[in-house]
Amino acid sequence: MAKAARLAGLMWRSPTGRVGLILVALLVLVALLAPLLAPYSPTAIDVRHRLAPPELSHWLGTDQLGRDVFSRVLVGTRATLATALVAILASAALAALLGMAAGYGPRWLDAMLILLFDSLGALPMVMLALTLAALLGPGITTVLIVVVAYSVPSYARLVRAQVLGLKQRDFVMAARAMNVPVAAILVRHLLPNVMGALLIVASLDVATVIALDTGLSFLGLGADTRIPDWGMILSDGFATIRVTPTLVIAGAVPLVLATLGFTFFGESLNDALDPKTGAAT
Amino acid sequence: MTDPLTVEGLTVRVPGRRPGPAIVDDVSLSVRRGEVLGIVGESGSGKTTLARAIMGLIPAAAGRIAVGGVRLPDLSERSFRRLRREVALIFQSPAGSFNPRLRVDAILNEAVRGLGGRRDAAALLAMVGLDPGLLDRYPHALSGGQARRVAIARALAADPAVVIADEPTAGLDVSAQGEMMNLLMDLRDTSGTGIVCITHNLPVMRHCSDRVAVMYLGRLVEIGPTHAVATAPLHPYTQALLAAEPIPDPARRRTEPPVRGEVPSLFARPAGCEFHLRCPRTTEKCRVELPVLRDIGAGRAVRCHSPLGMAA
Amino acid sequence: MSLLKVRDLSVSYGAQAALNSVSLSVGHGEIVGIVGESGSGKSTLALAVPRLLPSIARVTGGSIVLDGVELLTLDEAALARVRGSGVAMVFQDPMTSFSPLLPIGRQLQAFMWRERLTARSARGRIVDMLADVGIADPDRRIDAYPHELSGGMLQRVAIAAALLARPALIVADEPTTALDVTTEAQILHLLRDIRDRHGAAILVISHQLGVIAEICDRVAVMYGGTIVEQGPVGALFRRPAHPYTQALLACEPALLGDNMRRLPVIAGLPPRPDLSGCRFADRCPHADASCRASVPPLRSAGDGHAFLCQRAAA
Repeated sequence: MAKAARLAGLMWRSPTGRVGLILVALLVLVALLAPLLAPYSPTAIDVRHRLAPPELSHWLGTDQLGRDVFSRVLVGTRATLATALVAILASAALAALLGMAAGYGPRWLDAMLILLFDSLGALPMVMLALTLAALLGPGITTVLIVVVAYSVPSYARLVRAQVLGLKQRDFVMAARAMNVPVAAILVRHLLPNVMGALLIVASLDVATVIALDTGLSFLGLGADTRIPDWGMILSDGFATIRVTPTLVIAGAVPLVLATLGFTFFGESLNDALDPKTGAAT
Repeated sequence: MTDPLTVEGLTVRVPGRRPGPAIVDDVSLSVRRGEVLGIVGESGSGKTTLARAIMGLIPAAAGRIAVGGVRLPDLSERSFRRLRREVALIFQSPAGSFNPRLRVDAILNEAVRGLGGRRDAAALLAMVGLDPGLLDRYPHALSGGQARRVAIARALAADPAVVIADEPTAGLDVSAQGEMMNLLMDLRDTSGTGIVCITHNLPVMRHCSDRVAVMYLGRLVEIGPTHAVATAPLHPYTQALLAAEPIPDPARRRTEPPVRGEVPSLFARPAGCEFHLRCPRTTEKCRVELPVLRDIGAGRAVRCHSPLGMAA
Repeated sequence: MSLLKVRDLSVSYGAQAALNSVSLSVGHGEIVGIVGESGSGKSTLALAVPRLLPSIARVTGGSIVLDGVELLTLDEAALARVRGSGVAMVFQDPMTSFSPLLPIGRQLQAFMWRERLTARSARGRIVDMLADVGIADPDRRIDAYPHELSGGMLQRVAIAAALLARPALIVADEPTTALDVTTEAQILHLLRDIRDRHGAAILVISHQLGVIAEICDRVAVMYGGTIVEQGPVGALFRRPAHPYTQALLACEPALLGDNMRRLPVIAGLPPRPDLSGCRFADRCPHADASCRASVPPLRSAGDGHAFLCQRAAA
């Protein structure tokens, strides 16, 4: 905890870090408190007040079914961030496993996994999403699979490179010389030293994952259509753009803020953790 | 009394698909109980690779190893796991050989558990003269001297019969060198542990080792009791090594560097005897034929067509 | 007149003193050695002369005069003129002294920026210099990349680089520590040869007494940020006056008799920075309370041979 506080302090020093920390904190707060902050239920339909412009009772107006856009954005923040978080955690865990296996295991396993990473990396994500949606139906599973397929190859390659380097270090050789079992070497000696790099790469990736998830949702391939997220708002917005631009803006602005915020956050975290520039270690 | 460690014909090659050049070429030696065996050589001699290959940390292309007189069936990881209970390795940079996230007690206990030892961490520290208060420290909080002692303590986790110390005096000041070597010699005297001391520090070797083996480009070129080898070397390279060490006495300066040229690259091994390009005694035979390691009695062997002080 | 005169130089890293009122002089064409353990301040002294200390280091007193010019008050432009032709440096690790991306010829050419030479004459000078430092086949080697050369050869190139601007003084910081012993002998021989033929003075820093004895004319022994003994090499090695010098020589394995059961050591730990009095007192076999209380006086042990100790000469 003290280390996290110290890192935050270091990040605060630079302008990008400050913006990143503020935006991310804001988004996380909104995500956590969304049900409390939302003035209306995001699904409450009120057709008499459809497509209302921004006014006192509806800060961002209403959509084509009379639902309060502001509430939908707030709840959408929670949905988007939650999906992104789950997806990234799943990717990181899977990548750590595969990357360590590739880097530390036998050569043939490494060759096979590299082939897997390259193949996955070559797939166009939208095609994959459409195919999966056709096979499995749209929903959170599809989104998760697509995001994981997108992220794992690059994360896993990073873990593999780290492991290949760590394998040669004296302290790993020493562990082998002490007959430490392979599992213990992976967990106690390799994993902690790999997590730092993963953390950085993952934090830089959040923005992309959010954009990917929003994009899929925009195409209607996303998660549960009853729970609003930014993609849906955007999609509704495009449909009603001739009447009012509010919806499109309402869907796009949080996305821009999140992209900006997480990118700045990730970069300044990277700088703070770099022993040469940040001296956070 | 059987030797605790015997190595025969150990060969390590540069990794790759085609059989690469040998980093260690057909090296055979044994470590006796209660002796310090010095392995000296310069860069490219393969001495560190030899140590790691003996421990199974680098794959060997060929060779047979016997521990306590019992021949290991093969060079598989399984065999090496057995070997590591009897033979321990201390790395050149002790701080680098510790996981920076583990405390000293975790480091020691991990070794004890892995090797099936029975001592506890505090007892191991006591064996090297360290206070048990150090158990809670992280490696970066240890001084250089303390880190070295902890490395030795870890090597002793399962009461090994042989300890291999890779460059134990590298980078140390003259007083710290003395402390380190005294520790190792104490170990030899109190437990009869065999010590293999890999080094390029010849003056220290002269005082601390019982036998010495000289390596050049991966091959053993001379081996024998230290006193004999140091006062009457047989191989011209051994003589060059001994003469090259600068003596801290201005009255004994050399007017000419004792040997010309540098150690050739592994990938450009000279034909015949590999030292012939730099050797003052080169003959035609040296240029074409690699000499074999010849046993000449009194525990001495040399790989040379015309050893010093002997008829060819 | 001395070529280099360091007088009462004090340097601190933040709050910690690294050099404490150090005085040293180097004559024209003289080879002076500085020997000490790690932490004695010898590298700080070496880097201070060409003013290459890191930015956290502060000179808190004293002067460095090279060929009559006070170096500590020079601005960057004037310093740039002094570096190279006044004083040049050779570092410990030849591998990191060069950029891996450019052939050595190109890098050496950069050191000759002062003389506006054509590419051909610059190349000619470099080839000559490479031959001068004992590199065989210099026409070919000049186009080699650093990784294609061995450590010994690279250190020769580093020495050639130092010589290009015809310096009056070369500062060599542990020039042979990273090299094999057979190569070390060659490089030490080369350094002495350079002095003989080019007349450059050399300041050699090392923790190995053997290196110092091999080529130096005069020696300064450092401990805890001060020079504890200074003198001609023969006198210092034969009749060491300071207890620390005596202890160092006593530990040298090459000087020990045969059949030593154990190697001698110097008991104790390196000095804390805040000590008053003699910095060696805690480890000195002859020390008493007055040694710890007051700064030891400078005493003479012979012609040009001085040491810092208050007890009677050993």
